[in-house]
Amino acid sequence: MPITSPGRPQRQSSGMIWTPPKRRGLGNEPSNDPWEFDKTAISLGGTTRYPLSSQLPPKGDYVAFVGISKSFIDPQTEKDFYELLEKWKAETDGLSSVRQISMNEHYQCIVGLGPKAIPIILQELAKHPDYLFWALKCIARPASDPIQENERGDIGAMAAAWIQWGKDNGYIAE
Amino acid sequence: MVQWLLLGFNGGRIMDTSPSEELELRKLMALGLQQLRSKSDYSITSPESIKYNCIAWAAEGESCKMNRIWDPDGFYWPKDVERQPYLPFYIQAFESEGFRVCKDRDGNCEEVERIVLFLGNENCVWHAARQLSSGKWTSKLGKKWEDIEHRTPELMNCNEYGEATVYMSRKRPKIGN
Repeated sequence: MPITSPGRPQRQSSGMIWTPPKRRGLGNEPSNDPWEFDKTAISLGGTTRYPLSSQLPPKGDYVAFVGISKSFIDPQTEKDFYELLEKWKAETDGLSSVRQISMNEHYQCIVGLGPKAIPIILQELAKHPDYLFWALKCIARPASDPIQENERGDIGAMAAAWIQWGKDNGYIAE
Repeated sequence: MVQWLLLGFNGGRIMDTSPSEELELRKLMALGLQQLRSKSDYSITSPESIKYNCIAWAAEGESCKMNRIWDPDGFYWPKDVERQPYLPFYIQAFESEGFRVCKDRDGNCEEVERIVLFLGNENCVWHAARQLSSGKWTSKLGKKWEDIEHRTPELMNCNEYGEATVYMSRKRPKIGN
């Protein structure tokens, strides 16, 4: 029994009736809007994507949760990031050389958090621009650096360029 | 704790400090600048800022508009200079602003503007300071702290900034310092 018919009540293996939400892009067709859905479930009938805020149907033998959107902020990664950020700032706010600042062990650990840290770093950049561009560039590779030459050195413009990149690439929910 | 820190910092004298002075001292200690022992050696001359750094402050002075960070690693860097953190490339960067390597470190501060590059490990430049027309020197501290005026470049020598090593000069611009 497919679960990919929005708005049509369906009986599940448990006997419960569940109605898939009516949302643009539901079904097998990919959505062009990365913010429409945050959870993905797969069944024999195809793939269904749900908003992050919605409840997935009760897990039966035909529904499996398979993914989270790039904008999802993982609580553990967020906790790790802010712990590392605080230690990095304490040790490097007085330093001048970007090479020194970026080679700090806590900064390297931020890079080590990987792609799950991208939406969190972008969120922090939007609030408090800081020297986090190198980390983004390392994690986002092979994506190209979004900063234009005439923006380099202007920390506000550099942060704005990365935030726009985040929006364009699905890492920030608008 | 603070009293202990100040005891160590001030060579054994317990100082009567305001909260803001305690903050200053913590910063100087974090950098290992214990040689800045008295207010006659330095003074804080700006609020904190993350919008410019010591290299921009040295190269552009007041005209850096407080909104440009110079660094070969991803920030503003003169167009024709290779993006490398080593001394020869910093010299080229400052040459693009009209500075030339010089030997004289004193004299005629009103007509000649000097900067000094601080060398850290592996011939990397870790800091820069600029001489004012008064003869004092000015440094932007770190990526987000204040500017300070200091009596000599050597007062900024520390593990985090390296040593004042290469001096460069140019004719002092008529407007600003």
